Amino acid sequence: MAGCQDQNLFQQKRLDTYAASRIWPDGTSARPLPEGAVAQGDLARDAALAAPPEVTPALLGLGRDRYDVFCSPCHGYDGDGHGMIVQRGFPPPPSYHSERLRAAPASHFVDVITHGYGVMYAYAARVPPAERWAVAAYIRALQLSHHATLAEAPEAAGRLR
Amino acid sequence: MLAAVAGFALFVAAAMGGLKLSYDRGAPRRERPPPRAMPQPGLQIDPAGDLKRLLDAQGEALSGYAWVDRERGIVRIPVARAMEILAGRGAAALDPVGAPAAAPGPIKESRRP
Repeated sequence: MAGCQDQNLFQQKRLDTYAASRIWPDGTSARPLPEGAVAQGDLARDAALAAPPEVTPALLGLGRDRYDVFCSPCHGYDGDGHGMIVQRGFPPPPSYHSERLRAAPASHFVDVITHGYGVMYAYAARVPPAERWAVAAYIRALQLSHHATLAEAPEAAGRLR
Repeated sequence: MLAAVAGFALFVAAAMGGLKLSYDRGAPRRERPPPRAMPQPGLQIDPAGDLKRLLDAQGEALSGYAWVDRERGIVRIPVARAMEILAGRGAAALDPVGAPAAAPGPIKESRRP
């Protein structure tokens, strides 16, 4: 029991967070990143963000999955901007089925996912770049499903009253 | 002795009456606010039912065919079918929807700088 009175385990020989130090010339114990440092994987992420991937059924399926997880609480499963969060009082996001967003380039959706827009915060930490393009492609599918022409979906003619 | 007790009781009664008069006069008259209807509690009393209604309504919007604009030939199609159509378009799948894509050989904007 005598050992419990000893403070040696509490007072370690180390620098506290944000403590000053005289070891380095800048006087701080925290070590800033060297000039020009790049995080591991940054270049690959930038490359994936810059180049849209090929749109395949697998990519659209991934986009649908990610959209239902991350986007549908506010934007709604059909993209009209009336998800459950909105029904609980959150301001509604714009519908994807507006003229403006149908005409927007797909990179706009990727940019909004990356940086946020209005009250929407950035999803860059949650959705990696390849999945952002997948979500953008699925948003295109949502838009097409609400604004298709008979030429694009000829089978619709027989099913419409 | 009895006179002393009676006198004390009289004094106490007079003092209490005087104090009540004094307080009634001095205290500000407070008007009670009129009763008003309380709003409904901001609670979700049936979360599972709310979610089911949302999924039903939005699932309906994602399936089936319907006219959007009969004159221009715009229809609503199931999103699974829209995904098929987009996957068949190849590189043009990410282009804006509703643009005159039928015209062959238009100069496409670069999608990403």
